[in-house]
Formats: sequence, structure tokens, C-alpha cells
Amino acid sequence: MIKYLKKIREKKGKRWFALALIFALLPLLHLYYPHISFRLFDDRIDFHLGVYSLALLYVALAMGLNLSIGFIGMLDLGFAAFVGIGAYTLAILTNHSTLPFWIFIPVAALTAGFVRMVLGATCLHLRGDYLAIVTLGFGEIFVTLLKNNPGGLTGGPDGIPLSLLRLSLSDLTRFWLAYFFAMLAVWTVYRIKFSRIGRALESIREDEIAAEAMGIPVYRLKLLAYSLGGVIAGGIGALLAVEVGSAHPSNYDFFESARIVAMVVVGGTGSIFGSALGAIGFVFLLEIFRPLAEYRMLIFGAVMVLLMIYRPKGLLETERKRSKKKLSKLDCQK
Amino acid sequence: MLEQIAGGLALGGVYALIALGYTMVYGIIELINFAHGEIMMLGAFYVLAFSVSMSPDISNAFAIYTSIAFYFAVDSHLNKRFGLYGIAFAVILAFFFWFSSRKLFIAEITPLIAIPLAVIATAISGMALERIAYKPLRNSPRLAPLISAIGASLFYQNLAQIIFGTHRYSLPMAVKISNAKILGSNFALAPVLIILSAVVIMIALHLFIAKTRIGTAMRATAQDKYAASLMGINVNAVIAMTFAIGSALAAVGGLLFTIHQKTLWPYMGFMAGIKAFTAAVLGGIGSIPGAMLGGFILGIVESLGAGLFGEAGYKDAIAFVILIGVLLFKPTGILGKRSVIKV
Repeated sequence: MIKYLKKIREKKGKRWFALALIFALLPLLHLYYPHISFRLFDDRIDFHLGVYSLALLYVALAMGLNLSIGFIGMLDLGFAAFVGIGAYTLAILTNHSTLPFWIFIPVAALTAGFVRMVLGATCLHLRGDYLAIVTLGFGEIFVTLLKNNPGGLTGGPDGIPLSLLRLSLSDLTRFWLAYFFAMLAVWTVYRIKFSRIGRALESIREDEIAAEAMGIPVYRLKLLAYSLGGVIAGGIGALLAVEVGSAHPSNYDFFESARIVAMVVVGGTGSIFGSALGAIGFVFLLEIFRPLAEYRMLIFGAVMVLLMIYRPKGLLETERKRSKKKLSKLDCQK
Repeated sequence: MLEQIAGGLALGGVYALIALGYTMVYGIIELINFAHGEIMMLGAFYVLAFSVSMSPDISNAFAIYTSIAFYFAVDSHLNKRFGLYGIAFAVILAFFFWFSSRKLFIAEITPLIAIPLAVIATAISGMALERIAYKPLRNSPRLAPLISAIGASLFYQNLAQIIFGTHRYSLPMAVKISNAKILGSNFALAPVLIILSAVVIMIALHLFIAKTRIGTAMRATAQDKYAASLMGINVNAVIAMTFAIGSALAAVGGLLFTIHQKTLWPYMGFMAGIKAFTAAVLGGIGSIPGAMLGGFILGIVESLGAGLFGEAGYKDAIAFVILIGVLLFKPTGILGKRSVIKV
């Protein structure tokens, strides 16, 4: 497995194309095998189009979070709140108007992006873990707000059902929607990473002061990357709510944020392909573990710990590696 | 009003006790120990398991868990040359038989035995957690231990849920205490007891860190691990010790939290843990007086806020609003050191 990972690490351009192609061919597979199922502990596990589109949407979410964790090295523990903002924007707007729902996807994206920009503008000067706890706090405030149903908008702890909207779209339509937006997100992040801005962001991650001394507008670029992550989260969150069939407060709590962080970190922080693999792996693993019922999250937690212990830098490391660490930190614990 | 302030101080004491664990661990290895809330939940459940006779399935499962945790805790803290593995196995077996056949002994042991036992067992859990999930990752990128902490937190939550089920338990001694009144039967005993024990424990911890050799070693390690190891301090043992003390405090915190809430349940660790962490950040993470101060501030504000806004569900959000407000004006918390970056 590790050998294979090393192999795909070397072929950068083609592996993306291969992954996109595999996912584009999945509907074809679906045509012949609508349910790929196998048995595990007397239970059937189904792989169908819904799972694939879920995987695609999480790939896009991982991209959005990678913009802040991977590119500028800011830990974000409230990412799911922005996914939730997108979802609730879509849900509220579709419930109160007769326009077709896809008009609201950009609206959802921009709303989440705007909120994230405001949060970023006030909090981005905080450093490291203080920023992490502020984002965590924001996520908790958001979930509390949702549960309390301000102005009768959010439907309280039951959320807003979107099952009618979900049923009005076929599985295949939802798959291609997810495919299109996931590819859009990946392409955007990919273009950013290998552009002037991407290199500037990377220099901010490695050394903020040096970057500033080189004339990089640190604050502006940080804010840009941070709010762009919000835009991706909002748009994909809207689609995710349609895919799941409801906008529900418990879908956007801390554990959802932690899960997306885990996808990015397990895949390889900063590596686009890695975090995509991480997201796909997470969604598929959760699906495979489903028959284990209450043992699922137990095993899942253990797998997270073990993965980190055996591959602490993620499945695929960042392409451009860090320079060597300081000597004093290196030697003392070994 | 007075009742509310007393309740707030009590809640603050609980938060402060849990926050101490976060801040001590953060001070030494710069890790947000997300599983700390779960350790606190585990502490409360240990008190339950030691003071009430549970069904054989539950006590067997708990005994197996405790034995595994004990094995790893010994592995982390003590050196092999002491030959403690044999003792560890003996204790594990003893634990196991004691748990599973406890009906042969006494039906219910007194709190005076149950609480220390639970505190020790929780400390063991904390050390095992450090040994398994954090020690191998000490030199890895910063996000790796964080993810493994989240994984461990998930693991503990679901483990407790599998062993104990999702329903709420009540602890006999907590019920007894929370029903008791003092001062001519119009003032509840529970807040007073919680505040007193929290303050006593904090003073003890302060003396421990300021006066003893191990405390000095802990402070040295927090300042500079490398220099501390050059001075002959066993850094690994100090870190394990920190986890043990933090978890022991969390166990007491869990017990007090149970008294405050009157029940215990497998998910109680999450919210309390996050809020305690918020308290630690509020006071300035890494600073021990800061954690105490942050805990008390958070408890009072939350209690008063819930009183002002009525019993609305916005109570949980108050803590985080305060946190964001404070961090905007004082980016490193109330008592945190201003970190100056040198080029």
C-alpha cells in the first residue's frame, strides 16, 4: 500500500486526471451494478450513487478547509458552521420562494463566504491555538443559535427538511451536480496553489515575518484564503443538505468540523490530492463500518489514532517539504 | 441572586478543575488534549462503578478496560529496570477478579474509598492515553497529535456509551449531597461543598507545583524540554506525571460536576470539556492561575447570564461569546504571557 502511495506521489498531473475519470465513470458502473454490495458481519454494505456524491462533496469540503489549514497553517475547528450557513441559506430561501433551488447555491456560497470574511477580519490577528478556539467557539454559537430557532427561521432542533427537494432530483442529477461543483472546487484550489498567491500563502505558512519582510500583504492574503474557504463551504454545504435531505443542527457540530479536519490531516496537510484521498477514504470507511452500529465510531476513533501514529504526516506528504527543524527541538525527545 | 452566584461559583470551580488539566498539558507539550473532557466523564463513571454494584457485564467490561489502561500507564511512566511489569500484571489480575466477583465482598463501599480509587484509576487512564495516543507523536507536525486527540475523544465517548448505554445514571452520594441543606435549611450544601473542595485542591496543586521536586521538574520541562533533559530530568516521566495529575483533577471535577448536575451520562464530557478549555484559554492557556480565574469567571457569567436571559437554550453560547469578546481585546487571554516573536 505504501509503495503504491509512493508511486502515485511521483505522478502528479496524471493522478488527478485518473481520479476525475474514475469518478466520471462511476455512473456507468452504477448503470450495470446499481448496488455494489458485500457482506460484513451478516450485514449488507451498499455502495451506490449517493455514497459517491457524498464522497465528492466531502472532497470539495476538504479543499475548502485545506485553504486555511494546509496553505496558511491556521487550524480551524469551526468549519462545519460555514457548511451549515450554506445549508440553512439554501433551505430557508427554497422554503420561502418558488425560484428553482440552484439559483440559491451561489447565494449560499456567498453568504458563508461573507460571514467567514467578517469572522476572519476580526480574528485573524490571533495566533495559533487561540484562533482555533475562536473558530470552535463560533461553531458552537452557531449550533446553539440553530437549536433555539431565532425568528422561527431555522426550525429548532429538528432542522429544516429538504426531502421534497431531494426527491425532485434524480440520483444521477445529484451526482453530476456534486461532480461539477467538486471539480470546480478542486480546480480553483489547484490553480491557487500553483500561482503567485499560492506561493505567497505557502511562504506565510512557513514564516510570517519573513513573508511580510518580502513585501507580501500577509493579512490580506490570509483573509482571502480564509474567506474563499467559506465560499466553498457554503456552496458545498447547500448541495450536501440537498443530498442528505435536510438541514439539521447536529450535522454541523464540532464533530463534523473535526471530521473534515481529520480528512485533511489524514490525507496530508497542504497536499490537494492527499486531502481528496482522505475525504474519499473517510466517507467510504464510514459506509463500510455502518453495520458495526454503535461500534462504528469507536473503531473510527481508534483508526484515527492509529493512522496518526503510523503516518503522522498524512498518507501523502506535502509536495514541497519543510526545511529542517531546529536542532534543539529535534534531539530532546529521542 | 445569591443562589445564582453560589451556583455560578460552584460551576466555575468545576470548570477550573478541568481547565487545570488542559492548561498543564498545554504548558508542557503545547497540545490541546481534546480527550480531557472524556477523561473527566470517565472519572465520574469510575466513582459510579466503585460505589454502586453494577451488572456483571458492565463491571467486566470496565475491568478489562482498566487493566489495559493500567498496562499502558505502567509502560509510560516507570522504567523497565524496576521490573514493574510483573507487579502490573498481578494488579491487573487482582483488579479483574475484584471487579467481576465483587458481590463476594461488600455490596457498596463507602465514598471515602470509592473516590480515591476512582481518582487513581482515572489518573491511570490519563497516563495510558498519553502513552498510546500522544507519546509516539511528540516530534510530528502539530496537527497530528490533535487529530489523534480527537480520535481518542471519539473512542472514549463511544466506549462509555457501549459499556453504560445512553441513559443517565444517578450517583447515590451526589443525590444525597445535592439534597442536603445548611444554615437553617434554606441554603444548599452542594455549591459550598464544591467551591470548598475546588479551592482546597487548587491550593494543594499550587503548593505541589511550587514546592516539591516533581513540581520544579514540571516547571522546568514546561520552560524548555531540552534544557530540562540536560539537567537530568526524566522528561517522559514528567509528562506522564502531568497527565496523571491533570486526569486526577478531572476525576474530581467529574465528581463535582455530577453533584452539580445531579446525573451523569456518557456525553457529559464533551460540553463540559469544551467549556473548561474555553476557560483555560480565557485565563491564558499554559498559565495555572489563569485557568482557575478563567474557570470561575466563566461559571459566574454563565450562571448570571442564564438568570438574565431566562432559562433559554442560549446558555451554552454565552461562554463562547465572552471568549471571543475577551480574545479580541486581549489576544492571549487574561493572564497569558504576551508572546513576542523574535526574528
